[in-house]
Amino acid sequence: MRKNSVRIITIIFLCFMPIWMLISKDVDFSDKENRYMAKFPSISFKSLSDGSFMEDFETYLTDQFPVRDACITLKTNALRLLGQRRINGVYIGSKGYLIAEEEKFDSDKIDALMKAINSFAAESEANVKFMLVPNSSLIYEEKLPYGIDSSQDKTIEYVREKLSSNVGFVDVRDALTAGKGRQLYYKTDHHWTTAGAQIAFAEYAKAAGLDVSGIQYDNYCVSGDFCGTQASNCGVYSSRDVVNICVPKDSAGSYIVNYVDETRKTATLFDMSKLEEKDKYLVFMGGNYSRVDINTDAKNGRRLLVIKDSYANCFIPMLTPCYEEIIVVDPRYYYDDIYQLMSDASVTDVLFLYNVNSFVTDNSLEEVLKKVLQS
Amino acid sequence: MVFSSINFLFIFLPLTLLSYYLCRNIKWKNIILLASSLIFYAWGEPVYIILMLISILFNYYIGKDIDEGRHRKYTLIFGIIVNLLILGYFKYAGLIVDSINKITGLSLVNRELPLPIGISFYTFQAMSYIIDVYRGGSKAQQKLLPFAVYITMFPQLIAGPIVRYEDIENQLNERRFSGRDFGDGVIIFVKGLAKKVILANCIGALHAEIFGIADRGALAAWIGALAYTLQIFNDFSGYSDMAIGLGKMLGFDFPENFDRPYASTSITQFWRRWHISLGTWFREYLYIPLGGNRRGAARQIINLIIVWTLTGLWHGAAWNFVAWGFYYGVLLILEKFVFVKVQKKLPKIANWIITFLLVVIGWVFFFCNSLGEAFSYLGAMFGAGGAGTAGMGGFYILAYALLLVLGFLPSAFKAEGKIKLPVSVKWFACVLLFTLSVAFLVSESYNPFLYFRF
Repeated sequence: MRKNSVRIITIIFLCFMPIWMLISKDVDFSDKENRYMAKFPSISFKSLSDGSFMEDFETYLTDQFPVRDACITLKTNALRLLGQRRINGVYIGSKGYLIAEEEKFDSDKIDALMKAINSFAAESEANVKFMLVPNSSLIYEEKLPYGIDSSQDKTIEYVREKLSSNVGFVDVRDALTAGKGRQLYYKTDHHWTTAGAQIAFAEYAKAAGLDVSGIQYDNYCVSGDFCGTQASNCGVYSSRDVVNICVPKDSAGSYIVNYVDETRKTATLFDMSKLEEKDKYLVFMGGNYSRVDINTDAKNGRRLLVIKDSYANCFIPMLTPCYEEIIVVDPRYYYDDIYQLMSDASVTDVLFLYNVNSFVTDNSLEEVLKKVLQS
Repeated sequence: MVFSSINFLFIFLPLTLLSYYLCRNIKWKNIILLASSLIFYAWGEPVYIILMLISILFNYYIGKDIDEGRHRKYTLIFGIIVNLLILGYFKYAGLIVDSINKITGLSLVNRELPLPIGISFYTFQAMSYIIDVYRGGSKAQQKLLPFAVYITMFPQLIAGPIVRYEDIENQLNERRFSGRDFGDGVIIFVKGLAKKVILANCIGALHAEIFGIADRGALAAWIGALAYTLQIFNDFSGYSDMAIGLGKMLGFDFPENFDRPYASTSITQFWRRWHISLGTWFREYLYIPLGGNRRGAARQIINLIIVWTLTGLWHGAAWNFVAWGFYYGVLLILEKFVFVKVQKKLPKIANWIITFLLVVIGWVFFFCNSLGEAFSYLGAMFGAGGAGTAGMGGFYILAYALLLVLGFLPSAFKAEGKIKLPVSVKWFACVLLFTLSVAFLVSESYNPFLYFRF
């Protein structure tokens, strides 16, 4: 009797998971991981003999494992219990800050980039500014685990020295450090907050000679439960972030936004529909587009070209009262001649805005700036 | 296929066990075992399975010939040479051609053959069979099925332990099955799985990271070497545990392969406790036939150097493995002839520290890709590289201390026998460790795609 019951329990144990795996429905797209999950691989003589079927089959099984999300949470928590303070490239900092590991600095790569920027500045008649924003790992260095130091001070110093005198370097480090009592970076995301961008904006206005004394800004809170990319990356979901937007007072109707490649026009730089999605940072300009033109009613003759990464997305709305036209170019998606663009639009000012982690790993800026020299 | 995969745990193993236990008689059990082992092997090596089948047939007939024929000695030598040629061709051809090219300046074409999985293990098992038959320790297997089961048995097929034919001969035709053995097998298997998936993989990540830093400081270099020391133990002994556990579930008794190696207080002791089945193989089939220690000190020294250089070479076709084996050969000779008296005077703890440090240094030769790299890594450990990124050392220690301690415990202590746990606690721990291991396995492919990265 007892022997039989043990047997039955064993058989149930053996069959439980296989049957569950068999009957559970395949997931097509995972929101949590923001990617399509593997499908059942195709069987052919070739895929069997070179072993690719077997590899793909294991990927398929792990991707479609019935309790995959729970498994990931369990692993993350187990690792934290075991003392790990860095999971999947994210440091679990103090006060709920999830801080991205810094990207590796490669001097050859930076040298090539700086050369491209310098020759671009030498060629153009516009007033060129370059803002390199540190990541939270530098500003909130004390929140990193013991033994981890930021190297971004060195990186920024290196870049600043390589810049030619044609380019004005906008150094926001001191201002950000001084203002870090406010939350300047999201705890759960790799971006800076609107508060961080505001501080940088004040520095930029000084450097570019903008008169901002007459402009007033309103801050609105648009979301209180943002859980960004860093949280997804490491699987720690204990913090939530607040998303604020900063809007020039009475700016409604003062500008028109033209998404050039999408041939779509709107009257706002904020895409509120994105607040329903997981990545709420997309509320700023709706994400990254190859080229966005903003025409404002500030008839002051200044036309700005912004060459940027996504850190600029929450920064640009503050610029609308200061320029008659703002052209935003994201080199990662832009394939046209930027020199042609400069002369067609008679650009008077240029701003490069990058954060350190994306700048040191950038693969597209150099290409975009080169195109001019070839023609 | 590897044991630490979802496919093995939740598809292959349940199906194999169910069909294995549905069959009542031993012949059908063996057929199921052979069929599933071939599927297991073909899953990872769909082409080279032919090579394994040829090896099985060849050794089966050599065994029969030795048993019946008159030229027993020549048949044995022929068998050994063919086995070594197969191993040499697939495993060492690249190394030999490369080395000839380097020395002579020739440029012989090196056809990079992928190494057939498990070839080092099953070739050694096959050789143990024909030698055992020749010596009369075992009878030649008259039926192909049990012999094929011996060579292909999936629990030990691809990573050992190297089961000697003598040890398992009877079990091929007669096995005891009991619920208790099955339960013990499950617990040993899960213990091994957790060692491999949780400890070895996490500690391995630390080693890989430090190994990837160019200007690692002395502290980080030591942590990296220590991490590898614990990674390889948990990886390898974890795999052996899984093999032994699976064997028990199927009614086999495999010999232990590791016995608290990092608690050893001498190198001699270390090698009696590390990868025992390989050490036994070399002692039984090479060291003793060469004369062992019975032909004088000079001969013993030569024998030790031969055995240990070949042991090194067995681990991989590269000169750093040869150096690693040679290193142990020299250490063992020094221990036997020079330091024996010193060791007796020193307190146990001092002997342990010296032994452990020597083992850690040995692993540096093992994990580096070339001798030059090994010496530069050792240089970093002893301060030749300057402070390097000394700051990271502190982070590694704090973040990995607990993992390293947990990784060390099974390598130096044995819980079995000393601590009597109630059955319910044992099974609770078993289920918990299994769940955790599966969670770690599934999350290995966790790689959120951040399209809008910046």
